[in-house]
Amino acid sequence: MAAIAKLQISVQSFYHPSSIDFSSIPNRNSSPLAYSGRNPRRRDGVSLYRWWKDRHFLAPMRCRSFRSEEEKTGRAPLKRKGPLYSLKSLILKVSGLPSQSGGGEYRKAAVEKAEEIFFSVVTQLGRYLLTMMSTGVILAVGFQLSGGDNQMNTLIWYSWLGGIIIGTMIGANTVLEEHCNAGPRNVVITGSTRGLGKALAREFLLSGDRVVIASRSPESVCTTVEELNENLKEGISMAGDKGKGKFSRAKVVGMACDVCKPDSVRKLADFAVDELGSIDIWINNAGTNKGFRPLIQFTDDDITQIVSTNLIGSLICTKEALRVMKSQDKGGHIFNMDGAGSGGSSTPLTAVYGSTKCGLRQLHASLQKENKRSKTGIHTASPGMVLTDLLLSGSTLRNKQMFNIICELPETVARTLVPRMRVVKGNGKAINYLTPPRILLALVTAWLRRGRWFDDQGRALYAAEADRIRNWAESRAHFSFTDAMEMYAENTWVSVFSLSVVCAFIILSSSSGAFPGT
Amino acid sequence: MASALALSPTLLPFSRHRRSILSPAPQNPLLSSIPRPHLLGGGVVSLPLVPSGRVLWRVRAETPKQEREPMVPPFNVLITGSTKGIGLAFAKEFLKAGDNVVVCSRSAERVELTIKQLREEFGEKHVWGTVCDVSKGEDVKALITFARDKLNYIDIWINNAGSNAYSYKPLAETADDDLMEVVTTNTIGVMICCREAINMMLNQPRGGHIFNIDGAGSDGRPTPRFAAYGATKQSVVHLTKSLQAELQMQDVKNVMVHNLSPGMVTTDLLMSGANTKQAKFFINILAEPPDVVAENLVPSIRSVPSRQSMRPTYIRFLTGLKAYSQIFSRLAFGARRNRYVIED
Repeated sequence: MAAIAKLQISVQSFYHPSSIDFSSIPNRNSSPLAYSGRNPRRRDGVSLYRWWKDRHFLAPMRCRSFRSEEEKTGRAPLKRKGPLYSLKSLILKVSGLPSQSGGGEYRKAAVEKAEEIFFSVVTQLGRYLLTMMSTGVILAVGFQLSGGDNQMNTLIWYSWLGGIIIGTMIGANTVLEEHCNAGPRNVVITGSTRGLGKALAREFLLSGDRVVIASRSPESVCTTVEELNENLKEGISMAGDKGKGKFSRAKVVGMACDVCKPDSVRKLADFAVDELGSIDIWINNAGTNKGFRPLIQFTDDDITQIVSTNLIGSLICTKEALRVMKSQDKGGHIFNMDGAGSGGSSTPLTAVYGSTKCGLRQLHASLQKENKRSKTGIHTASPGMVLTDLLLSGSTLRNKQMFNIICELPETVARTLVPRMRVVKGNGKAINYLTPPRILLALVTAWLRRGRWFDDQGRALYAAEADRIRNWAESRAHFSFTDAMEMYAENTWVSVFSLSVVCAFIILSSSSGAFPGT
Repeated sequence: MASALALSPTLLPFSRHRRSILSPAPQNPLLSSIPRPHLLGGGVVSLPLVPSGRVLWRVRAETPKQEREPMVPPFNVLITGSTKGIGLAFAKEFLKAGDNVVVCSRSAERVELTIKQLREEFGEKHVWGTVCDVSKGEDVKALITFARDKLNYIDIWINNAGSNAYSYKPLAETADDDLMEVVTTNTIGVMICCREAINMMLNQPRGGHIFNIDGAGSDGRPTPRFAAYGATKQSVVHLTKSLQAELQMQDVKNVMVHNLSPGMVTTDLLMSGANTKQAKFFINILAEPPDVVAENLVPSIRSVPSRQSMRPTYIRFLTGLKAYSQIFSRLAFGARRNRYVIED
């Protein structure tokens, strides 16, 4: 509250010099009104922030990570050192008395815990106040520059609000990332020796998870395990000391497995349990397509293979994963990969592939009903369009022109999907890459994306996988705005939108009140 | 040019059949060099999960229009899995209408028995039968040869063979073999049959119609206790849709694929799952015996070729309105209680 008062004072002080000339006197008259209007706005900001904090911040784990970060930044704690430490010592004194009389480890632990929670809350509060103060300063500067022009002020308020929203989103992104890093997951990914599966495996591995990869051919499993181990080593060396803890339990193992053979899948599940102890996430990624052509040109083997891999494979893998996860106390999560046709739209030239994927969508609904009360969550993940062999086999020049706009590299998709897969909760969630904001972005920037992956002759412009991985570390740090937008459920967007409408209404009504005569 | 080549096989089978039936070369250089401007990239729009519009991709018919013979009764009908249940009821109904029928099933014994029984009733010259496992390519090819041998052409092909392994259990408890059987029969079987049927009918002057039978789950609603069956049936409906788009894209005018929904039929497949209260309730209200369903559906099926229309259809026996009115009459008047199975 102090900061808010301070902010108001500072704004007031800026108002006074601006009201030297006569024309702005009505403005000053209206200032109490404007302030009363501003307070609810501030509260809205606070409540949004609180709400978001409640959702993401309450676990002490994450708070601790925040504290450590805060201490590293140095400047902020210095400021608050006095009151903070006095409070801490006060608590210690209070707790010290009973511990001397009754004493015990338990109380000590409780005090430590309380201290920790208190510390993190204060840290958060301090951060929040600091942020608000700095935005206040910016606002004040803005008002100073606007020279009391009402429309300008409205504009400033809007941009302030926008800034707060975007800042909150960016904050949420970092928090979620930190939260993601809490504790390694045990992950099984089928069909993970190339394409998206490999990218997913790498992303999980570099998040510090323990990954089991599987594919039909033992050789490719071996080479992929070696490659991923290399990536892991690079990742550790890049991260330096900070990453030591994170990667302490990361490892990758592999096993040859044909997903349409029940025995093979059972062996894979048992192998994963032997190696990792439990399975937290099972991803049915194996899928095949065999080119784009009409059904009458598919041979019996093609059809059998596509259906076996996509449909039978998913059924059997889900069954085995359910078996393993049912015996685990914490349950687990199973992901089935969507593909073309999942939405129900027809898929000419990939009729077989499309209909298996469409069947999987219905399977998803049935499985959810069957596993309503269990701790095992069944989810779908939709990678959208990924530049892998599955898509590129038999694509024409014109297709490639279109791929420029909407396609993504597997690494990009994996980077978006994996954090969400790691923190998934409940049952029946859909984790999509191509969401409306992304499609919108792609369409808006279509012109810029023309030569992104393929040139006019349809030659691939993007780097080979090995080169991509080399440049991977820096691109990892790169922040994506759409990623931040994805963090929120749709209802959040609705509330943010309505909030801004309310704010706009308040602003407009208070500013029109400035000219009672007109 | 490489990319153009990759797609050219799209046109091949059709052009081969119409133009040069004897041309053995699969990579006809003439065909692969067809200019491609009429292939709009939009065809792939249906590939991603982007809500795609209509398929813009049309391949020009490059052959002069072939004279099509009008399809007139009696029709030649082929029904897969037709030695029991709804398949057999369909066969009887078509025979009653004076059509010629080819029956088939996996068991030689049952085929023999069915033929004997049907021939006694409808005469020697109308029914033929052979053994066929629809999920085996060679079997289906043999079936086609058999049908061509006996009837020369097929007007109506009904992909009726379907299985649920007669078990109703959660997926986690379902046996692996059952899962395999369900998917193999319902999905692979239908796909192979569709492929062979289209292949055969493209060459027929009268053309042909293929009907795929849907089932529980084909509307996308969940089917707990028979998840695999539901998923396969949903995939069948989607296959029909994709094939319709494919045929349209290739400008095929004489073959069409349709969906056929018999609703709930009191066959072994359904009755083996009548062991929960809910299942019994709905079976009593909504299910009908196979002969009733066939009696209603066969005229609609026969009207499709008689109309000479090549528009895709989705023939339903149990429509939503009918289902709701029956549920209502049950709840209001207690109609249909204990009709097939005793409720408690």
